[in-house]
Amino acid sequence: MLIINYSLLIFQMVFSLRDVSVVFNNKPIFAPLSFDLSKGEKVVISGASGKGKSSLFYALLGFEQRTQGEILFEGKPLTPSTTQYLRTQVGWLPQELNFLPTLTVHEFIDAPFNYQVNKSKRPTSGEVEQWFDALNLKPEVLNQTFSSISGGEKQRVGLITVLLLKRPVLLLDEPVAALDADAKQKVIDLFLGDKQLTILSSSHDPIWNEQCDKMIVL
Amino acid sequence: MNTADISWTGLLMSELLLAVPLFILGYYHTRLVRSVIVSVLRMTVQLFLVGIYLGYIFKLNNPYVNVLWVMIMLGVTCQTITRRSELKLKYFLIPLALSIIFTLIIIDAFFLGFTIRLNHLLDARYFIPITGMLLGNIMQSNVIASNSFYHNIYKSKTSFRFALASGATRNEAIFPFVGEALKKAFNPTIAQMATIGLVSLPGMMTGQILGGNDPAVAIKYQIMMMIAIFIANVISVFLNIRLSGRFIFDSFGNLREEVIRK
Repeated sequence: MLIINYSLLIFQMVFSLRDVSVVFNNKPIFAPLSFDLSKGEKVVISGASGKGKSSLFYALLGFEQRTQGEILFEGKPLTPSTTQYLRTQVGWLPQELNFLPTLTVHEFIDAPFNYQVNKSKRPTSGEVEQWFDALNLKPEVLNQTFSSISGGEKQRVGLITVLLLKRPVLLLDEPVAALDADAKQKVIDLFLGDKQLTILSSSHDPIWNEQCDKMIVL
Repeated sequence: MNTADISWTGLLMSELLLAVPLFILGYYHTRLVRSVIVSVLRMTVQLFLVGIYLGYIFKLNNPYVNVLWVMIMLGVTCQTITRRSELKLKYFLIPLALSIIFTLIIIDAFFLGFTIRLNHLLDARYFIPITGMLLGNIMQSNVIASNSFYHNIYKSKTSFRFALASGATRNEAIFPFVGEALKKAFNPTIAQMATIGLVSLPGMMTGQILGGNDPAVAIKYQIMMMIAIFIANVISVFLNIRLSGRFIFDSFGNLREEVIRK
């Protein structure tokens, strides 16, 4: 007799979306979306610019109040308390990395580790340098202001911060858009090559999209 | 010694002198001429009415009437803060009014009761002008702080959301924005305190000296007033930001965008 352990199935499911869309001016900005993201899976959302990919990430993180449909995280619907928990399990790389212009890269990387929930994970300087080296970033970048570095450097600094937070689930909005071929390959190997990480990304990049397990077109 | 009175002709002549700045503003097409004329007229009429009203209030010296007058000033202060910070009054009236009332109770009780040692804290001659000066300064710093705080969160949405998404509580996520707002709001007061007497002679001290008081007493009042203003500004801005958080963020930690007048 076949016995299915549903609780195990639900536990393996990180995100479950049922007819999810974001409504703007009483109209959904993309057709209702249903899919599951299971543990270790790499799913990419593709679609033309302005189709609502970033809005979908906002919805998953509890930032978009105009969301319709049902979003489950580890089997539970998004409420203020489950969202607070979700935000301790998920690492998010936003598409636009425009932060306070006076902030240095070091302050930017360090900021999340001042939050109570991340204090025990504060990285050593050696750890930060190791990731900088892995993604072809010079250590001098650490002392530059966030607004003075290039788009590609910002993207890599954002990715390093997400990695340092050591979250099992990552939401990456256009993670390789501003990177050159060499840096892109390193990011792909690092993120998509890690079997433990569960990643939902949005990307226009054919190489990234090809390496993901599943592609959803908006 | 009594202060020399200003004749009606003298006052009128001084208002006529406004023709000079009005000419400059008009020549450069600043479109400010009309608003300057309206503002000067409003100021003149308002001050005349307040002068008459204060005359009665001082003569009456009834604590209930004095408190009522301060409450009216408080209402105007709250309305001005939200209007000039481009925020909606209905979301901010309660936190703003509560933070200012709490500040005034603490500051008035300490400075009027303990420092000046008044027998009647609500004595119109002290309570109304000192509270009025406090309110004027509270208004200024709260306009700067509110403007910086809410509009920066609104404009730097990604930065604020990135903090929340990284596990920050709402208080942790607003921390840098509070710091920035406090810096912007109090830099002018700190600069004013550092240069007082050298660059400017403050109103209260000048008023007392013109009124025939000993400059030594006037200086003590001015020092007390500057300290009272600074403390009142910091407490009111801090409370305003902390109390309004309950009304203007949703349960997911997002800034409710409808609180900002666009």
